Parts: sequence; structure tokens; C-alpha cells
Amino acid sequence: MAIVIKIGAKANQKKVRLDLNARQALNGDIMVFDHGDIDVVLSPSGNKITTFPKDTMNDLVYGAQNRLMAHMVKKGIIVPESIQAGSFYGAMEGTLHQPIKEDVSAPKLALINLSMFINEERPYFENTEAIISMDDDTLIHPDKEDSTELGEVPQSTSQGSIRRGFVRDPYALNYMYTME
Amino acid sequence: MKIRHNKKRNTAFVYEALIREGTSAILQKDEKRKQIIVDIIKEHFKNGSILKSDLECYRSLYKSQDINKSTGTRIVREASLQKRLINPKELFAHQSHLIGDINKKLEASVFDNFVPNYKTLATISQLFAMATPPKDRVILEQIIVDNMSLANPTDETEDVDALVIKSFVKKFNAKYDSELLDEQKQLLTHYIVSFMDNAVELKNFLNEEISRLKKRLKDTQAIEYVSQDKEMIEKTSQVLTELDSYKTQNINERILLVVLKTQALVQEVSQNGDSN
Repeated sequence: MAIVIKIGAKANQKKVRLDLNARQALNGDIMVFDHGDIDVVLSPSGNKITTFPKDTMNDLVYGAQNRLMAHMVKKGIIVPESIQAGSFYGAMEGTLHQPIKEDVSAPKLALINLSMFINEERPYFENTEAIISMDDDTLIHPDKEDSTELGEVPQSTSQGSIRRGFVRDPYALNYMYTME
Repeated sequence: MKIRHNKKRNTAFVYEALIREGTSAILQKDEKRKQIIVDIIKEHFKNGSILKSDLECYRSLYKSQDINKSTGTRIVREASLQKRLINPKELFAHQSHLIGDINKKLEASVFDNFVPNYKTLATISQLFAMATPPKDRVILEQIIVDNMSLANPTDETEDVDALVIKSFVKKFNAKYDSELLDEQKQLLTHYIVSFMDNAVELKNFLNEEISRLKKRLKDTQAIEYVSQDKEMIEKTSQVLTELDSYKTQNINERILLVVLKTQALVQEVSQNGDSN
């Protein structure tokens, strides 16, 4: 096996690899779509993070926005007092801290911390998605108890919910219900 | 096979374009324009007229759907025969009269109306053309019969090539390049491409743009000629309230229209303010 030896100031520099479903806009904004409830826009030019509901605004969305902002504040990425609602539907935004050191990039650190947050939350929103998917499955592929066998249905004296001989008008079944 | 054809000499295309223009006039409640279009259609496409006969030849090929191939082939042959019975010189003269009426009474842009089945109409036109070689004629016949036998004809608007897009963009730019502000063009661009990314880029743009517009409108309230005018202050406040309400509304066409109008308003106010 070949051995690679690096020499120089950047020899010990660590590389960070992030696995995100993201897209970069023409103005340089990075849009991250991984989270189940919110879309996140990291704007290096505006020096801020903005979150939008994926679909409609509800308590789950607000909870996710709140947790993300709290995570970013805790990690020292966002200015706490800058967190506010945006001007458009369900948006919430926060301004990034200005780093003192010149070689530190606030947007890069924000992206790393955003990835960590999404990885932390992933089990929760994936679980929710799985439950929704299971719910769909019960409708599309019902189990034996809730379904009728395919093919020719065998004949029998009583079948289905309608019983023969019963007069079906508003008061006809009163007697039967009284007996029960 | 021919790629270009003169759409003004395609009777069915001109008829469809007129119908679309008429629909547009009705929706815009332009009674005068609607009446002109109806008069043109009644005059040129009345029963027994040569243009009506020509139109029927086209219609029998693009209106018939969900029929078997042998019937389709017979219809194509019969339509081609009927078309040959029409005197080309007389048809040309009537078409010229119709084109002249549209150009004079309406305007030439009627021919730019988007007709969804324009490809089918062009194919039928080529089939009817005397100059089409026999081999091409058979291939075209096959295409038309195939289209006629489809139970659910495919939506032709999906199959748009680069040339069509280029032509659309050219026409759009020619019409709106000088009329739209830069920020309005940006908003429209974000709206058009919003299907790609769950409209996140559009939402982000609107978030920034609405904040900017609100700030500019608040600034205008401090301008002397605005602050002294009670009505202008009130109207500006109404626009601000409207923009504030977008915090709780998801994207819809009305929001986009209001933002587009507000962008123009802010530009106008700031220009007037500067000149004063």
C-alpha cells in the first residue's frame, strides 16, 4: 500500500465531509432540504440563516425552527437577539456571529453545525415519515382481516351486512334493537 | 421533410388563434374586441364558405380521437380528397382577405397566440400541400392516423424543444425587457424556476424583498410631500398592512401580483421623491 506523506503548514489540516441534500442558488445561498419539517437557507452574502416550512406552518414546524435556532445559539453561531420571524410565510431567521479570527468562516461553521443538527434530528423525522408511510400501506395493502380474497366469492346463505327478510324503513328494525 | 410552414395560410391555425383571441377578449370583458372577432369568424367561416370547407378538412383529422386505425386511414383519405376539390386560387384569395381583416381590424399579434395543437395542425397542412413528396405524405398520414387512434392524446405542450423555448424567450424579452424593473424580473425568474426546489429560493427572495419593500414604504412616509398628504399616508399604511399579512400566507398568485405592483410603486415613489 502506498504511503502518502504531507509536509507543510496544511499537513495536519482536517477535511470535513458533509452528506447533505443541498443546492446552491446563483447568489451563493445554500438551500438544505434534508430536514423533514423545514427547509433551511444559509446565506453567506446576507450572513444569516433562514428557515421555511416544508409544506404548511404548524406546531411541528415551529418546534423544528425553534430547536434549530436554539442549537445554533448554543454552539455560538447565531446572535441570540437577532432571531426573529421573517416577512414571508412561516419564515424564521437569525444573523450569524462575525468571527474575530480572519481565517474562520462563519458560513462554513454554520453549515457544519446545521449538518450536526440534522443528523441529531434524523431519527425523529424519519420515524414520523415511516409512520405516515405505514399508514398509507395499511390502506393500499390491507391485511387479511380487513380485506376480501381476490377471485370468485363462494356462495353462502348469509353474506355481507344486509340480511334477507328485513324490512328496511325508518322504524322497521325498532323491535330487534329493543330485544337486544 | 419541411420544417417551416406559413401558419397564416393554415386555416385551422388561424381559426384556433381567433378563438383564443376571442376567449381572451371575453375574459377581459372587452366587448368591442369580442364583437370584431365574432364578426370576422361569422363572415369568413359561415356555412358553405370555402374557408369553412377547408377548416372541416382539418377538423376531421385533429378532432377525431379514439378510433381504430382502418377508420382513421379512411378519414385521412376522404379529407385529402375533399381538400383537393377546393380551388386553391380561390382559397388563397379568401385566406388573404381573412389575413387582411385580422391585420386591419385587430392586429398581427393575433397570429402569435399559442395554439397547443400547433404541431398537429402543421403536420396536417404538410399532408394537404401539393408539393409534399409521396414518401413524406405516407409518413405524415401514418403520424396522423396514429394520433387519431390514441384514446388519450398526449399533451403536446410537454414536448417543447429548445427552438420553441428560444422563440418564447425572445418574444417575452422583446415585450417586457423595457417594461419590467430588475427586481420584478428577478421575482418572475424565481417564480418560473420554483418547481425545482420546493420554491425555497422564491420564498427566500420574497422574504428579503418584502422586508425591503416595507422598509422603503416606511421611509416614504417620512418624505415631506407624502407626510403632508393624509390620503397618501393612509394608502401607504394599507399597503404595509397587506405586506405584513404575508407572514401567515403561503405563496399564491395574488401575493406575487401585489409584490410586483408594490415594487413598481416603491420605484415610482422614490423617483418622484428624488426629482422633488
